[in-house]
Amino acid sequence: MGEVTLQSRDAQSAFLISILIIAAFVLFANGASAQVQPDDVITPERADKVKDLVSPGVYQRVKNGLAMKIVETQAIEWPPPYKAATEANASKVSIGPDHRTISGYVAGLPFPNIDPNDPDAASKVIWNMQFRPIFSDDYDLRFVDCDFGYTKNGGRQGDLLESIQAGHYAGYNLVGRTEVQPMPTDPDFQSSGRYWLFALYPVLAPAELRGSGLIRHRFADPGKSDNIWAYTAGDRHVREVGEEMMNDPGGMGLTADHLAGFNAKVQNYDYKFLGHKGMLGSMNASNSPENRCVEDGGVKCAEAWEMRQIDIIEATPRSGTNAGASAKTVIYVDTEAWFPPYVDVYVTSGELYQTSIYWLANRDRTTSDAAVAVYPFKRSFIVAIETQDFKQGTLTKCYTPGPDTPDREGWYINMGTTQKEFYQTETMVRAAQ
Amino acid sequence: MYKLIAATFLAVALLGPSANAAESGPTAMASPGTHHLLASLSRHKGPAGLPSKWDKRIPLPEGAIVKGVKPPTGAAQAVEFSAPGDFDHTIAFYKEALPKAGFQLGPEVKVPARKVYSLNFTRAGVQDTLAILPDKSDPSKLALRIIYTPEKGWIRTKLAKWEDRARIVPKWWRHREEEKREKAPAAAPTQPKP
Repeated sequence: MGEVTLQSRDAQSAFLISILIIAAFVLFANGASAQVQPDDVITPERADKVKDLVSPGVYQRVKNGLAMKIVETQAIEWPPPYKAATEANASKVSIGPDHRTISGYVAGLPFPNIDPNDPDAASKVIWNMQFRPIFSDDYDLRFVDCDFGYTKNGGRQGDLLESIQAGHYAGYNLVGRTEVQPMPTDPDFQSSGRYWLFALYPVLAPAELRGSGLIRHRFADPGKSDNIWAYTAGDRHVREVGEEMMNDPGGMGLTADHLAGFNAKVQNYDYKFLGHKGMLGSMNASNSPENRCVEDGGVKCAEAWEMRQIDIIEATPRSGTNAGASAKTVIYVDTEAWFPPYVDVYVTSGELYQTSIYWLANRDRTTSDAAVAVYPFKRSFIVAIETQDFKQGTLTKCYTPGPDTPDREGWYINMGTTQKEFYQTETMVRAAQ
Repeated sequence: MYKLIAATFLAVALLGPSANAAESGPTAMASPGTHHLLASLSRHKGPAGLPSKWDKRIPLPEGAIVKGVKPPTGAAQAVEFSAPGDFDHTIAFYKEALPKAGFQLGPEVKVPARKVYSLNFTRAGVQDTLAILPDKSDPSKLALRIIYTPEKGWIRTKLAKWEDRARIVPKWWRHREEEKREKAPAAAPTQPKP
C-alpha cells in the first residue's frame, strides 16, 4: 500500500516537476511579457517590473513618476492603400552599395522582411521608418500645445515655465504617395530632388513669439543637407538654419530631429542592429486628445502600454555630415507601426542625456467630435510627445492635438490638406503678418 | 458758411460710424445695393448671440444664426452657426470674402461625398478655422463651425506679452514655495504629539 502510495507520490512529483519545467520553459520563452500582465499598473514603486521591457531612459521616467497601465496587445492595421503598395513594390527595393541610399523604391514599406543577420538590417529598419505607414502622403495637425518645465527633486515635472502653441505641424511627402494625387511620386521630386517637406508655424503663443516658424526640406541626395529656414517674429526675418541645429535642444529639450521619432537625415548616421525583443510601447493610447494631468504636471496619468515587437537600432553620427552633437542615439522601432515608441540619446561620456517618448493612437478620427477629418479605416497618429532632458533637468510634453483647443478635428492625414506652396518661406511669412 | 460747416460736421457724425461699422462688421452676403444707413448699422451687428469678443472681420453668410457658443479654451473660441445656402456657394463665398477682410487663406480640405469642408485662415499670427458641415437638425441648411481668436483692443495687444508672463510667473513662485515645503520637514522634524 505504502509502495503504491510512494509510487503514486513519485508519479505526482514527476508530473508536478514536468509541469514546473514546462511552465519555466514557457515563461523563459515568453521572457519579458511574463513580467507584466494586462491590468497591471506600473508606478514608481513597481518600476523594476518593467526595467527590461523599456529603454534605460523610459525606466528612469517610470522611476520618476511616469505611470503605465498594461493592456492586451492590439494589432495595428495599415491603411489598405499602403498595404497594397507594399505588396506590389516591396521586392523591387534594395540598399545601394554605399549602404546609405535605397534604389527601386516606389511606395509602401520598403523592406517588409528583414533578416536580423543581414549586414544592412539596421539601415533597412531606418528606411522602413522613413517611409512608415503612419503618414505616406501628407499630414497637418492644427493647434499643437507644448508645456515646458523643470523637473522637481526626484524627477517629477515641476510647474509650467512655458507653454507654446503652434498653428500647424505639417508635412508633405513627394515620394511613396499612396492616397492623394500625384501618386506615387510628385513630379517635383524629379526636378528638385526633395522628398520630404515639413512646416511648423505659426507660433500662436506666447505673444512675443507669435508668428514664428520653421520650414524644412529634405533631399534624396545623401551629400545634400536639409534646407531649413526659421522665421523669428521679433525682428521679422527669415534665416537659414544649419542642419546640426535640428539636434540641438536649446532651451526646450525637445529637438526638431525628435519631433516624430527619429527625424534626422537618414544618410547622416551609421546604424547598428542591436537586437529584436518584446518590449513595452504605448501604440494604442486610450486618450485622444491626451489628458493633461493638472495636479502633478502629467506624470501620474497612467496611459495604456502593451507588449510590442521592437527592433533596437543604434545610430552614430557619420563623420563629414551635419549630424548633431549627440554621441549615440538608440532607437526602439515598433516592427508593425514602424514608429519608435521611444528614443534614447547619449553624450560622448556614455551618459544618458535625453529620452523622448511617443504615445500613438489607432482610430478612424482623432477625437469623437471630428466631422471633417474622418477616415474610412483606422489610422495611427501621435497623441503626445514627451522629452526628458536628464542633463538640464527639463521635461517637455507636447499634446498632439492640444487638449484645450476648440478645434476637434486634430490630424488631417493623407487628405491633401497642404500643398507644396505651404512649405515656402513666403507662405510662412504671410501667415505671420 | 456756418451752415456749410454745420452740415459737414453732421454728415461726418452720421456717416462716420456707418463707415467704421462697415469696415469692422461682419461682411454680409447681401448685395451692396441694399446699403442704407440704419439697415447697414443693424445688419453689421451680426446675428444675435455672438460672443462679445467676436472677431467682426470674419464674414458671415446672410441669414446665419448662432446655434452655440463654446466657452473660450486657451487662446481660441468656437461659435457654431446654422446658415441657409448651397455647400459649394458657401465655400466660394468664404474664399472670396476672407481675403477681402484681410485674412490669408491657409490649408483647406473638401470632402464632397460627405459635404464637409475645412479652411484655415490667418491674420497677424492669429489662426482661425472654418468648418462647413451638414446641419443635422435641418438638412436644408449648413452648419458652420468657426474657431477664432477673440479680438484684443490696442492696450491688450500691447500688454499681451506681459499677460503671457503673468500666467507663468505665479506658478514659478508656487513651484519654489512647494520645493521649500518639501525640504522643510527634513530640516525641522515635527515634535511627536503627547
